[in-house]
Amino acid sequence: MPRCPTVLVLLLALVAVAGAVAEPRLIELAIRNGRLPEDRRVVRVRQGDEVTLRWTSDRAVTLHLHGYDIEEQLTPGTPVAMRFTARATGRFPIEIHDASGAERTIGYLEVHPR
Amino acid sequence: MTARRHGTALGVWGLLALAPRPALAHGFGQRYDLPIPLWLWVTAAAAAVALSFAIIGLFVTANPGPRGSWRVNLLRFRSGRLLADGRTRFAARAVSVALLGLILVSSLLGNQSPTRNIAPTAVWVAWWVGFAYLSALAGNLWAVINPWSAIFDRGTALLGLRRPPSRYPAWLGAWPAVALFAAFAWIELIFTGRAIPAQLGLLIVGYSLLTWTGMLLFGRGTWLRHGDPFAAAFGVLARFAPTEVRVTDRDACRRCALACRRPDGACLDCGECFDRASPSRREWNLRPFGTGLLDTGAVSPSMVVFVVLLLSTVTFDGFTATPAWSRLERSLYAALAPLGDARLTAIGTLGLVVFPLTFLLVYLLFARWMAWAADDRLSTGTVARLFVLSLVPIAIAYHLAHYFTYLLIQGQLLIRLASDPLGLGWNLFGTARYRPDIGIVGARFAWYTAVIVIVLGHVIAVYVAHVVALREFRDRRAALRSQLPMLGLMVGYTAVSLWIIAQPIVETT
Repeated sequence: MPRCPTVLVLLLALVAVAGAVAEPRLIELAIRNGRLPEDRRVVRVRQGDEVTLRWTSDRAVTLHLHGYDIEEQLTPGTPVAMRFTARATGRFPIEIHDASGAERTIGYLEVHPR
Repeated sequence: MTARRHGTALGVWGLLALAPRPALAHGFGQRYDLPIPLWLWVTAAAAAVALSFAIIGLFVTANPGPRGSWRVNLLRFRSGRLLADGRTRFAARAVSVALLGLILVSSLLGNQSPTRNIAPTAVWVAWWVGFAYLSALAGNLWAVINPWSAIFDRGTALLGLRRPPSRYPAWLGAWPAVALFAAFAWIELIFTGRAIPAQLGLLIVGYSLLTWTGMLLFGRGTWLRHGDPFAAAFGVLARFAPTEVRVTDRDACRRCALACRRPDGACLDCGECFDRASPSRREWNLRPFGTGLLDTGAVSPSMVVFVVLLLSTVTFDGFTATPAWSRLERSLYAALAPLGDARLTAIGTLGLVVFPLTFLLVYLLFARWMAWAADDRLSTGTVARLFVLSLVPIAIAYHLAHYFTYLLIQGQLLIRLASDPLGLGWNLFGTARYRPDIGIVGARFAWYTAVIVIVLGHVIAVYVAHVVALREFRDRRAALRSQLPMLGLMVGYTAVSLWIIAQPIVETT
C-alpha cells in the first residue's frame, strides 16, 4: 500500500488545519433594563473566529463595540447582529448609551490568542 | 456595514467622550490589553526572585567595581558629531517650538472633540508617554528640545536680560517640582477635563506663565533643576538611559551656577556647561543602562519624595484600572452620597493622596530596616537617599510594559490627526481617513514583552542597589545584610507591577 503514508500525511494536515481554522461563534446577548446578565458581561472568543453577536434589548439604545468600532441602534423586539472576524486580540469594551445621552460600559469582548 | 458606519461612529463617540468619564485613566485614550495569564505571572515572579538571589550569589564572590563601567564617546564619530552639532540642536528646538505652537492653536481654536483635535493625543500619548520611553531608553532629549527653554533663551536675549533678580532659596530644594508634579498627576489621572482641547490649552498657557516666571526670577537652569516637574521627571528617567552628556572642562564646570559638578571635577547632563566648554572637552557617551542611577551624590530629601511620587503615580495609574479599585470605588461611592457629582473625583483624589504617601511610608520603613540591618552606621535618611534611584528601573519596566500596546495603538491616531490637526475637515497629507490597526501586536507578543521587560528591570534594580550598597557600606557583610530588606521591597514592588498587568482592565461606571 504505497499510498498509505500520503493519505496519513493528508489526514494529519487536515487535523492540524481544522485545529487552527476559524470557528463560527454565535453569541446571544439580551440587554434588560440597560444591563447584560451577570454571566454574559465578558464574551470570550478566540482569535480568527467568525463572531456574530446577536443583540436584543427591551428598550431603544445605541451599542458601540470599541476597537472593532462597530455601532448599532437597537429597538425593542428587533434583534440586531454584529458580524466580524476576531482578527485582533485584546479586551474591548462594549458601551451603551440611551436617549438621555448617558454612556456606560455594559460588558467586554475578549479575543484570546490561539 | 462596519466601514460605512465608521465615519459617523468616530464623530459621535468623539463628541460623547466630552462627557466626564473618570474611569478613563492615564490622560486620554483607550487600552485594549488582555491580562497576562496566571501561569505567566507565576513564572515571571519566580524568575524575579530566583534571579535576585543569583545576583546576590555573584556579589558574594566578585567585586563589581562600580567605577569601571565602560563609556564610548559618540562625538568621536562623524554621525555623532553631526547629531550633537549646534545647528542640529537648533533645528530640533525650532521644530519643538513649532509643535508647541500648533498644539496651543489647535487646542484653543480647533474642534473640541478629543479624538478629532491633535492636542489631547499629542500631549498625553506622544509627549507624556512617548517622552518617558525616549528618556529611559535613549537619553535626556527633553533637556535639549524643551520649547519653553528655547523660547525663554530667545526672549531674554532679545530683551537683553542677563542676571536673574533673585537667589533661589536653598531650603526650597526640589519641593516646587514635587508640588507641581503632584498637581500634574492629579490632572493626568483624575481631572475630567484633561482630554478636552480648550481645557488642555488653558493648562498649557498656565504652565508656560509659571515656567517663564520661575526662569525669570531664578534663572533658567536653576528653575529647571528645582521647580520644573517635567525636567525633573524626564531627568530621573534619563538616568537609566544608555547615553550621558559629560563635560571634562574643569573651568567651565567651576563657573557653572548650577551644582552639577561631580567629585572628579567633571559635570554630567548639564546643558549650560556643555555650551560653555571647549569642544575637545565635551563628551556624549554611550554607557550601560542604569549607570546614571549609581550617581547618588545630588539626591536631596525633596528628590527622594519626587522619585517616590513619580513611581507611585505610574503604579496608581495601572491600579485604577483594576477590578480591585473598581470595587473600592463602588463601596466608597455609596458612602459619599452627600458629595453628589463630585464623588468620583473625590475618591480618585483621595486615592492619589493615600497611594504615594503609603509608598513613601513603606519605603522609609524599609530604609530604616536596611540601616538597622547594616549596623546603623548610616541614618535612615541617608539610606533613603542612597537607594531611592535603584527603584527607578522597576518603575521604568512597569511603565514600558503597561503602555506598550497603548502607545502602538493610540499613537497611530497621530497619522490621522497630522492631516487634520484642528479637526476642521482638512486632509493635508491624505491620511485623514486612516484607521488605527488594533491588531498591530498580538496579545502573546505583548505578554512576553511585558514580562521580560519587568523581570529585566527588576534585575537591573537589584544590581544597582548592590553596587551602591558595596560602595557606601564599605564592609561587605554590612552591605549584604542591608540588601536583604531591599530585595524584599523590590520583589514586592515587581510582584505588584506583574499583578496589575494580570488584572483585566475595567472601566467603572
